[in-house]
Amino acid sequence: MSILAPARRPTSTRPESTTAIQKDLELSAIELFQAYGLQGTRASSAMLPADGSETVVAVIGFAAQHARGALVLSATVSSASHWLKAIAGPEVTASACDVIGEIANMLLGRLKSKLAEKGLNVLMSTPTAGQGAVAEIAPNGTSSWMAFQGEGWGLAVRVDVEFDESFRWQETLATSPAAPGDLMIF
Amino acid sequence: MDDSSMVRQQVGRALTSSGFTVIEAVDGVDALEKLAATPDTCLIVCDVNMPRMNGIEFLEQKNLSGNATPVVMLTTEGHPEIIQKAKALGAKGWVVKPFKPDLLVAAAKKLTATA
Repeated sequence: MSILAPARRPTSTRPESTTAIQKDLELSAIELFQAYGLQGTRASSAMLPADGSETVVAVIGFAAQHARGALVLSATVSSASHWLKAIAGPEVTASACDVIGEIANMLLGRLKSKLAEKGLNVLMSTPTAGQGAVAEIAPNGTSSWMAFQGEGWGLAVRVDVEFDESFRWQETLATSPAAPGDLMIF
Repeated sequence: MDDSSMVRQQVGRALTSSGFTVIEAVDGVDALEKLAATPDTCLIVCDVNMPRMNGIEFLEQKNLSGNATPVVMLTTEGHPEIIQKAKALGAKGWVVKPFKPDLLVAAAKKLTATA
């Protein structure tokens, strides 16, 4: 009897590229907090303290030439509520999944712009989010969690990237991407 | 149109407070149906990354239907190539999230004044 197994595409760990992406992720997160008037700093632990509310997790996949991965964002429902007020004001109601999904979307969007300037053009998917009493996400060997906290909120994020052996950083963009908050009328 | 309820409400509140009547859509498919049912639509605020039909596909389909309502894209995307693609498909504006509500309202008033 033969057992068929799918051929695994050769990959490389590319620690320098992973580190560069992690640094851009951290910068993107801090910029996003500031954009909404929230002071957030890196937490000393990658684990967020429990606050009695359920956990929400959002995942957005992405792909680039010879690389692929996902951004994973985790927060409590209580933190999502805090963020909702900061983003949209007290009158707007939305589920915690919607809020965390949109934060993940904006965070990956910022990261995408930074990576594009350095020669990595990423196609984003749409967020998928879930909520539960206990959420534990299996570790991925390519990256680690970053936790941030501010007054009344906390969130943890990681970006998992897998590179093919043939991956290369492309030419940097001749024109800078549009920045968050930019408005263009054609 | 946006797949995020939070963003739809945010945009809706900003435009409603400036006198617009807002109809929400969750993606391009939903928006095309509502556009067909609301012929006096004067402006479309359109996300790019959405399930079922994204913003670029929506522009293509809207053009095929002959609808000329101006569209401003509201998105996390900022890559020059995708901006040019939307512009070539007839988009009249581009706003990168997070957005300032007063700027979106100013853009809406400008685009509906010239339509």
